[in-house]
Amino acid sequence: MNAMYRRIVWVAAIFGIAGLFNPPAAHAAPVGAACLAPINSGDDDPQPRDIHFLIAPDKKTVTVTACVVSNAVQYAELSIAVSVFDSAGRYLNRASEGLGGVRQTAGTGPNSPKIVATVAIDVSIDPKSADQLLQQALIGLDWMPCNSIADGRCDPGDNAGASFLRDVTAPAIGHALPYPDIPDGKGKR
Amino acid sequence: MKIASHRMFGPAITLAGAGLFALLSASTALASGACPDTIRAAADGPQPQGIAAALAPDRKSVTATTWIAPCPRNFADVEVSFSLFDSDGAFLNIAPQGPPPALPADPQSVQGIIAVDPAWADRLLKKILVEVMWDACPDSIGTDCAAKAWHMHAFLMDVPSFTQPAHR
Repeated sequence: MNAMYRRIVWVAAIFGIAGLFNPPAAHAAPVGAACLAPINSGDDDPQPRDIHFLIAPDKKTVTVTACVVSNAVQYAELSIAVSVFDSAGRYLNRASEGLGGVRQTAGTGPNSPKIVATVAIDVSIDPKSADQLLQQALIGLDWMPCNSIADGRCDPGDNAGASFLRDVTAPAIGHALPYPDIPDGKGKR
Repeated sequence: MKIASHRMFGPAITLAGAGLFALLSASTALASGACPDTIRAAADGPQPQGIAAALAPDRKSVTATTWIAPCPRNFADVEVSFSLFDSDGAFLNIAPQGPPPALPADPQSVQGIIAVDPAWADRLLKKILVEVMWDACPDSIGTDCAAKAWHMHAFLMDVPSFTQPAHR
């Protein structure tokens, strides 16, 4: 009876965690547009694109790189959080990065998103999980829009947020290559 | 809005036209300590002046270099990153954070090395996204900044070729 009960509890727990993959607020879009492609009318704005995993040689870290785009001209605040899971759907860990106030990207074309930002966020993982990562990531975006912009200054509006369960782009384009060493490197990346 | 002191930089030069002419002109301006017209006030933040990029002989990385102008000096900390795209506009990779330039004292070159799959080296978009993050100091200069506000401004800069050596 105890063994059966434990089995049921485990199955329930696994399915409960797996429920993360269909939360009501998540925007499931397995294949998205390229980072610099236009944001179509009605699409999520802002939205993440081109998610990649880079696993560190010691397998203690997976660096999640992503592009975040928007047709807004400015945000008072924009932050990105990433969560990674193992292939069984178990949540492993989460990390986030705040970009602060973000302005329209200079040099984008008329058909490109107005804001283009890229991030690389390190998520600590158990090395045993490194070879069993789910090839999807939960990307959470939080932002504070500008109610108005006068002389480049943003009058902040209310906080907003959305989450996106996105497929990781296959590591066929060099994203899986380790970063080269840069002496004295430091900072947000 | 506070207008930074500067000397004339040349009306034909804009950040959008970050080609060789702009690169050379920017380098000249920075070498002389000038503050380009394009940087108007602290709210604009530090801005990259031209970019050079070179694909490594083994085609496994691109070294990108830009130059950050030392004006208008109202920031406490600056970080710069570089991102590559393929010819379809897909984001490929981002350089790790290199040493932050020692702003605001001097004009600085900032370099990033972006890993790339050699098979994709011929399909790189001839643009690099330069993201500059800084702590704005509205009322003070440098590390005495009391009211920091973190900002990010990105610049999608044209790269004429991936064979430009990084020099000023």
